[in-house]
Formats: sequence, C-alpha cells, structure tokens
Amino acid sequence: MRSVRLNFSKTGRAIYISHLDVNRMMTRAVRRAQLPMWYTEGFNPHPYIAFALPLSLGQSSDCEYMDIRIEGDMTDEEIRQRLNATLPEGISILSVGAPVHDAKDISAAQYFVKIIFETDAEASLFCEKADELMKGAELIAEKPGKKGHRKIMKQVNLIDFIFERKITCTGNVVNLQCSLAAGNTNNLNPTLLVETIENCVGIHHKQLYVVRKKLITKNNEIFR
Amino acid sequence: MLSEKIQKILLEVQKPGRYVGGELNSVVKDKDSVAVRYAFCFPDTYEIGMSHLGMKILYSVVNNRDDAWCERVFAPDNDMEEKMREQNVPLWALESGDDVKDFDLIGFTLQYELSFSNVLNMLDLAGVPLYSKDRPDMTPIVVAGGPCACNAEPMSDFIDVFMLGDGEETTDLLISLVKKHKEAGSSKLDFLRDVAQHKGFYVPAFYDVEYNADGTISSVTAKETAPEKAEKAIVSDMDKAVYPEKFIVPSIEVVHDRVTAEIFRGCIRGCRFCQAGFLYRPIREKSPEVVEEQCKKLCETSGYDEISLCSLSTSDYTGLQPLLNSMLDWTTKDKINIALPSLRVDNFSDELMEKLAVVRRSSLTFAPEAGTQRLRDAINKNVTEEDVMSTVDKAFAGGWTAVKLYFMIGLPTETLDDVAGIAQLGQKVVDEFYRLPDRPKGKGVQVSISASSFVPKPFTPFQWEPQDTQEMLAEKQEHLMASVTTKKIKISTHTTQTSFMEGVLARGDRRLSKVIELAWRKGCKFDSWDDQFRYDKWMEAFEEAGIDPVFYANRRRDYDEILPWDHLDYGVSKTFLINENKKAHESVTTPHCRIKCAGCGANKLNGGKCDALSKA
Repeated sequence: MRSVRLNFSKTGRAIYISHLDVNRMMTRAVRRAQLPMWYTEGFNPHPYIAFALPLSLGQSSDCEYMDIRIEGDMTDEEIRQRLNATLPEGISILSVGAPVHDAKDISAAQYFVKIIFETDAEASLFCEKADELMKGAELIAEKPGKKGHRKIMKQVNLIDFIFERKITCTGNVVNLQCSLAAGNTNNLNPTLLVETIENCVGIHHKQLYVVRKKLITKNNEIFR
Repeated sequence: MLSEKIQKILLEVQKPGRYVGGELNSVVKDKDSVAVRYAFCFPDTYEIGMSHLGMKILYSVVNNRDDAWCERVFAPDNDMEEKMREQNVPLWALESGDDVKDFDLIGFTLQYELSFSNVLNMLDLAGVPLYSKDRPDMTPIVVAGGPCACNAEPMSDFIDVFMLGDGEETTDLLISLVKKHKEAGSSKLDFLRDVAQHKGFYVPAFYDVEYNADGTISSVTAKETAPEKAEKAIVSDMDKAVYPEKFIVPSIEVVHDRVTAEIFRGCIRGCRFCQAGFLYRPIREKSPEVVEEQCKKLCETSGYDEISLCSLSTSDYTGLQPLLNSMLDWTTKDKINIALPSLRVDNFSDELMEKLAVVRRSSLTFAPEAGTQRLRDAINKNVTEEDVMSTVDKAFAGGWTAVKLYFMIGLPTETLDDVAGIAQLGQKVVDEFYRLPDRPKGKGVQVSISASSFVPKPFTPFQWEPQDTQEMLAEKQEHLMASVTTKKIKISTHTTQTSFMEGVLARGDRRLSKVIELAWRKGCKFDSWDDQFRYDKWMEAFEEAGIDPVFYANRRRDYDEILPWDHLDYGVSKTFLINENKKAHESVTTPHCRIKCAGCGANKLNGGKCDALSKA
C-alpha cells in the first residue's frame, strides 16, 4: 500500500459541485478508472480518499489536492491517464506523485480574483478604496463562528489574514492578486474580502471570478 | 455553454449543481448537425428526476441517433425560479444551456398526478404558450408520456400528443416523424394527422367529448385520422429493447444514486388496487444473461457501488436465483451491493436473504397492504399472515432488527376492524421478534408501518369505486394510531388533502384543464411536496371553474358509464376489470398469472404471447 497525491483542477461547470460532492464523485471516478485502491476494513468498506483543503462553491482552482492509497504497482502516469479518461467536464488531473507536505501545514492560498463592475468609474473607485483599506490596520467583517456549541457571528479583522496583495484596474475590470490565510485554523475567503470592501465603499460587483492558484505551507513552500 | 446571465444567478441559489449539466456521460452534440432537438422535461426537481429510469432509457433512445439530440430539463426550485423571473432568464436545457422554447420537441414524463401544475409552470418559465391551441406552429411540439398518460384528459388542453405505453419505439418513431414533417415544411395539423395514425400515440384534439346533464360523459367521438381507440405501444422483446450502456452520473447527490436494472416489465399478480400491475401488462422478462451484462457495463461506466434489480415484484422474476448466483461472483469482489426492492412475503427465501447481506445490508420492506385476510383477499394481494410471519422470522434470524411494512387505508370494502388489523399485524411482528430464540442479541425491534391512503386509478378493477372522503380517511388514521399500543411500532400516514387531489386528477376529465390552469395561476406547484401543497388554492380554483371535485373523487360509477379514458386501450379488457371488481366485493381471489391465465386480454398487444404462460 502506498499513498499517492493527485493535483487536479476545477474549472467551468465543475465549479458548481460542492466539496462533499467532489468527494463522492472521486470515489466513483477511482472505481471507474479501476485503480488498485486500498479499501478500509469494516462494515462499510470504502476506498481511502482525503482532500488537502476544501474549495468554496463557485470558485475555480488549479491547486486541488487529493490523497489516495493504492495497492500494487501502477505507475503515477497510468493513474493520471486512467482517471482523466473518466472524469466529468471541468475536473482534470494535472500531476500525480508522492505526497511531500502534510495538509496540516497549509497556511495560505494564492488567489487571482477578477471583479467586473457595471461601469469604469465603479471599478476605479473600488480599486482605489480597496488599496487604501487593505493598507490600513483594521478591516472588520462578520464571520459565522461558534461559541461552545452555539452558532454566533464573530467580528474578525481581515487585515490579519491578508499576506500579499496587488490590485489593478482596467476599464470596468478589477484584478486582485492576493495571498490569504488558509488552512485549519485561519481561513479567509476572497469573496468575503471583496464583499467587505464593497460594503465599505457602497457598491456591488456585476460578476466575480475567483481562481485559487497555489497553496502555501507555514514554511513558505508551495504545497505539493 | 451557460450564458453569463445564468452564471450570475447560479451563485445566488441553493445547490447550483442542479442547473449546470456537464455530468459524466451526459451527451453533448453539435446542434447544427442534428435535425431534431428534444427537451426531455421531468416536472420535478433534479434530484428526483435524475433518479428516474425511464428518462435514462429514452435519453439513450434519442441520443443513439445521429440526427437527434436529447437534453434534460428539470423544474427549478423556488429560489431559482424567483431569480429566473426577476432577471428574465427563460428555462434552459442542461446540456447546451439553450432555451427550451427553441427545441423541436418538448416532452414531459407524467409520473404522478400532482406534478401536473409543474408542467404548466415549466412551459411558462420556458416562454411557451400553455394551451395547445395557442401554439399554431409545427415546432415546438409538446408531448407527454408516462403512467399518467393513461388518463391524461385533465392535461389534454395543454399537450399536443400523448405517448401511450412503452416509449422506446414510439420515441424513435416520433423523432422520425418530426424530422420528416420539419423537412417537408408541414403544418402542425399535417403532423398531428400523421402521428395520430400510429400505434402508441394519442392526439386529444382529435376527439370530441360530449356530456350529460348529470356531468357524466355522453359520447367521445374520434375525428380526423384518429382511431376510435388509441392503443398503447409495447416493446415485445425486452432483451432487444434499447437499454443505456451508460448512465449519466450526477455530480451532486440525488435520491436514487445507483445502477438500476429493469428485470421485467408487467406483473403476474393482479393486485386490484395497483395501476402499474395492469398498465404494464403483458409481463415480459429480460433474460438473466442480458440483465447481468447490462449491470456489468453500467457499473464499469458509472463507478456506482450499488445495483438495484428493479421491477414491480422482483421476487417473481423466474431468473432471480441464477442471476444472483452469477452476479455475486463479481459484485462481491468489486464491493458492489445488490438491492432488491419490491419483494413479496410469499416467496422470500433464506437463500435470497443471505445474498442480500453479502456486501452491505440494505433495509427490508414488505407490503402486506391490508390488515386482515378478508381485505387482502378483496384486493387480491394473495399473501397470508403466515407468509408475513415466516418472512420476518427469516429476517430476524438473519440479523435484521428493523422492518418496514406498507399498508393502505381507504381500500374498497374496508371497515374499522380491517384498519385495527394493521396495528395487530404490526404487534404480531413485534411479538415474533421476542419469541425467537436466535434473534439478534442486545437489540430492540423496530417496525415501521407506512399507511398511505388508497386512490382509485383508471384501468384497475377499482376504477368505478368511490374514494374514501377525507373525513373517513382521517377517522381511519386516528383509529389506526389508537390501535397501536407499543413504541416499537412507528406509524406514518399521508395527508388526506393530497390524496384527495390525487384522486380527483387521476380520474378527471378534460374539464379539469381549466382548474389546473387556475390553480397554477394562484401559485400551485410542487403539489407532491407536502410543504408546498396549497389545498386552499386548489379549492378556490374548483370554485371559480364551477366544478365539484367530489364528483371525480368520491362518486361510485356504474359499469356502463363512459369513463374519461375509455377511448384509450391499454390491452386489459373492461369485461375482465368488471369481473375482478365483482370478485373484490365477494372477497374472492384470482390466482396469479403463472398458476392460471385470468384472461385479462393484454396478450393481444404482443401477438398473443405472454411470458407468464411460457415461463410458468
């Protein structure tokens, strides 16, 4: 039995598939691909599949990671080809290899965010204000959280979770490249960041596209 | 591809995966290279529609052709509908994202009466006029099939063509006819004249219906090219019928997410309440070799880990033992579970039970249908209390601690004693568990009783019977609850209002089209969802249309009354149904078709052949 890490992308129509459903889909995909999966033992045997970091519904990604356990000696390339032959539109295996990092060590994610506004003026206003707000010391947002077992709304300072940012504007389109906190403990969704800024400025986008480009570990290495 | 408008609203609704298509094995073609585009519409949500086997079969039938493209359409949920209406986004088909109104054929499957309002809502969301008469052009043609097409009269003002019986061959023929008439530049009337001449098609506009002063039908007259009686179509050889090699694998969770293999069509039993048991006659079996091959292929192409062997009465399949023996070799190895729905208590063997528990244990459900032997005889269920007991014995000994029992209340001739009999039978099952020395240790027993309300349906021996009024059903439900004395029995019942509406629509005539439209305009949709059903709105609609729903639901019909579906021929003769009705009132049973042919007449559809006799 050996562990194999698969890097896959999620684009197009597949971005509307939730994390839980991606999990179920992959369970079926490995069966269709007839990979020599290692099965858990017990009353309900199932193949071992684990994901590095869930992706929000509606976002694209080039850096999705899934670990599986296989028995026998199928090559990484064959695993890639077999799976790609049987995946639905928008899901594609980019590379296969032995896991290097531990998913627990993920601390940030890099995003490309494209925000389209109704008018050029709105876009440049957003761009200017966003730059200002992200340079500041405080950008407060409400996030659902828990106090014991109770669900409450928590106030959080988003500035603590923004590590890198670059914002540009052309016409009615704003491009935001950023590195935000990601992982088990702290996590900032770029959609929340954009909407918090919009609430401060008092405007709202027409379309929003988010692509997750890379996962970064606490030692500042690219997760793989 | 999905338009920007659609993309924008997708992130504002629950479960957007329902609206985007792109699932594995869905079929995308070049729209310019096909002659006919078919929008197959299921008038309920994606999760329900994607569980439906008929759609998978017909999707393959159409898409196997190079000149046609079948796409899927489902009823959008309320949040999505709101966004669509707000942003002026018309209903689209999942594969191409194109507007449904631009398709050549829009086909609905009518699986249950309470989905009728959704058909109207979907036509409206698509921007297609509701009434057939308001669609003068050759395309789009609106067709409908499925079990409710057997009495489609309430929907007859909206639908151009109904498809009766098995759809495999008629759908293929329909595509060819549409192609021919599109190319010839025919008018809609030319097309309808052609289609009405073929077996399996029913053009309601070609029949004039007259009424008596008391509201009953005085005459139905065929005109144009329509036959006096429109006959249903059947597939005569199930081994040769089109069956998908691939199922679309939904990317989100749906109700039945598994391989479904149809093992036979029709039923030998003749339970008098059961519409499917008569509608799908004569019985035609698929051979075990073909079933197994299809299952294997489907598992490979889908990656599913469960196979459901599907039919109206799975344990009646003559090839069940050899099929299971052969399949278990590979299903066990591949960790695939086999589910057998629709088992009977009178032929559930130890062997069968062992095979069910090989990979993962599924739940056990049996349907005694009625609480006393007298009533079970009246409905011709042909099972005894001993059958039920010996079956639960086996199940408990085999480690099961929960069983589900299905019953109906409101059956013809039923008394309160029969209702109490349901609780008593449940109690006997509980007692049986504690009497068994080899019962599962350290566990209690759970008996779940589902008591639905009986709705008389067309083409059954009970088609003349009055449905119990809501008051009677409510009284019986209360009596049932009061008759249960242990917490080990859980009872669930249906709301009487939905059963009443189902009863009205099931045996309605074409005057109800107006009522359905009015109800829909008042906001009725998703009527089969208890939380969305608006009884008050339906009653307002009847009031405004000046129609009394009780006339349809709670009235006893005479044998010589012209019924709204009498000009449709589903094979089973009226004389046979009358005899069965009389026997029901005498509590006399009719043996199943393998013991003795009851002479229902359905074999005429298959050149006199019936598998019940050849495989007795």
